[in-house]
Amino acid sequence: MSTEVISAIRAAPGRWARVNKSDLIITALLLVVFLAAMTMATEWKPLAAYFPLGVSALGAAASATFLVRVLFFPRSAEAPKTNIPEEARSMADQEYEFFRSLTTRDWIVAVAWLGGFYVALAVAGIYVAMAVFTVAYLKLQASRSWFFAIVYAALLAGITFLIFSTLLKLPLPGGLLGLT
Amino acid sequence: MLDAIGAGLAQAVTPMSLLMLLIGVVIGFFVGILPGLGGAVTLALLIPVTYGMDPVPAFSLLLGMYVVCAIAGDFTSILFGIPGEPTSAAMVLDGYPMNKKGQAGRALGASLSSSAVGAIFGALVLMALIPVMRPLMLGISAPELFAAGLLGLTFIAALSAGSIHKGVIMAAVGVLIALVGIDPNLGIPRYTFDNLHLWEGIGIVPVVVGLLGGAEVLQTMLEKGSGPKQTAPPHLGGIMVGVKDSFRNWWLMLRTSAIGAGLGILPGLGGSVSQFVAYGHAKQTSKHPEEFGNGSIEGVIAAGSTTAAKDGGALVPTIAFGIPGSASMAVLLGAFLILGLNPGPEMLTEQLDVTLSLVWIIVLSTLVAVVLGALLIRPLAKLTSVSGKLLVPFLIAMLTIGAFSYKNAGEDIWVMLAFLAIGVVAARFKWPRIPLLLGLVLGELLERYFMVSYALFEWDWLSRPGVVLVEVAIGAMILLTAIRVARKKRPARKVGQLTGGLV
Repeated sequence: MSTEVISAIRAAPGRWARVNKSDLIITALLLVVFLAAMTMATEWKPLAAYFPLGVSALGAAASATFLVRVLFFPRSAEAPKTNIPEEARSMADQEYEFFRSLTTRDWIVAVAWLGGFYVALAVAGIYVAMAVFTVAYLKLQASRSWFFAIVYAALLAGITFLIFSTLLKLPLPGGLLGLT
Repeated sequence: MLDAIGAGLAQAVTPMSLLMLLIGVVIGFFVGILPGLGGAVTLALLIPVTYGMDPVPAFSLLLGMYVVCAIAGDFTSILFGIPGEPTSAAMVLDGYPMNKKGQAGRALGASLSSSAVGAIFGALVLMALIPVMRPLMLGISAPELFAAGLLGLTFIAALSAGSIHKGVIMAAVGVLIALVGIDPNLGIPRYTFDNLHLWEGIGIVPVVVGLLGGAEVLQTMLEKGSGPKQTAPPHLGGIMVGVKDSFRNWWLMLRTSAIGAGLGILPGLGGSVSQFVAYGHAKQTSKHPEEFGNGSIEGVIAAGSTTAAKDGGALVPTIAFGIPGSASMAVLLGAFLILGLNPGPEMLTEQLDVTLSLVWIIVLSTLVAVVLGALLIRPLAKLTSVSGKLLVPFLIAMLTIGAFSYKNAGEDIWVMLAFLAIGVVAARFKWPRIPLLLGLVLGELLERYFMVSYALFEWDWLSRPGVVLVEVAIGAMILLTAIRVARKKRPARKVGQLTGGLV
């Protein structure tokens, strides 16, 4: 076994630790999506297929090359130090830091509240979902009084009805019970 | 041209247009100051409201809101050191220290007046470029427009946070999503999976609302604490002193406005970058560079005028070439298409009066915003202390209604939720969302130009001089980005490197 191969094997565990696993998974998934899109496009007539074929081929090529980079040329996880003041960092960086700082409990809480709202919406429609969610959220998450939460919910539902249903005459989701 | 300028003004000052503009300005103040929703998401939420309206009143609402949003975003930058909008980040550097020194009113006065000058400057740039763009636009056809669209997408992808690979991949995902639906040439369903709702394609509103708004709402929900805290009430006197400061530094205002408008034209750069370029320029040319970062009035003026001037510049490629340079411009481009306007040569010929009315809308909404901002500065300042958690029920309701109202279809709520999840995953793992959004908006236009090019020239269009020129530009862009990424490994030394991930 040549010395190069031995040193490559020795370097492998260190390199694997530096591989960005999330980038690896997302890129691999997207590569599969692009390949599937390409396969589907080959079944269409040429005029309908040229453009999707080109786009999916480009996406697949970009994903494949990025996958190679992520796997074989991993970069340091730490961003280089810059003189960027904390408050002037890009929104992308700030969002990244924010979401990275969340705990599992934070995620569960957020998904539970959102999930609860949309389940209520699917069953009882926008007005009931809005009222129940508003009262519960303001009481439990924002630590507001019952009175404040109920008045807020009534105002929100009332203004929504006035603007969307009365003035703009837009239909709103009624849920399984059709309550709009 | 003069007739069109007059016709544009006449359309912008009809009672309906003015009413919509006023509503837009008020919404813009709220969106800019309150945490939770950004300009792009609010633009998307307002699109369903504009159905059935004439283009000019519709754009009075949309542009009026959007222009003011950036101006109002400076309020939170100055009062709390938290940018209300991404484009208000540079305002924090000197606006907030001025507040801490008891000069919040002066900073707000300087910010409002410099924003007004910047916005008017940007609008005039847009107006001045129309005679230049018209012959250029009339001389090019579908192949060049396709190449220009591709160049715009490359710009955005290359300047995205993360890496150019991620930008290109996300842009390709966006274009693929735009292809979902019935093929316009042969009527073949593409990527619809036998789902009837997908036959009409995936709309821009549910995507924008989910992709950008979802992450913002989640941040508001999970923010630790109960909103910004002010240790002492800000001193809001001295607004006129700030206004006078701005006009005393008129040359700086004009220079930084020119930087804002100029960089606003380039896709991908927009407000996020131009504010820091202008800030750096102001610092380099100042007689008191040591004051920058410690409450320099020149820093406030530079940030204010640049932020406002970029919108006029950003409208140039959006209107003339159909290439949006930012998420907000992508949504605005979607609004053009929904309202029956075709960005491109048509906007500079048959629809020239509509284009010029946009210039007037920017000018008018800025003036209204400055007057309202100066008069209502105290109640508006109080809005900045509203806790984000209180807005969560309102924001979730708006996202849901906005997505649903697009086609009055419950399926769009699921589309919105799917993109909410994609947006949050992208933000969490630092994958850029803007290229996906631009790909979605540009996908349909790109395919149309591609098919027309193919129908006219088969594959020969790839060797047309204009197309070759753009192909070279795309290659150069990718090469320059590779060099930029390689250099980024070194510590940033110049102000120009302050920007970090751009989009």
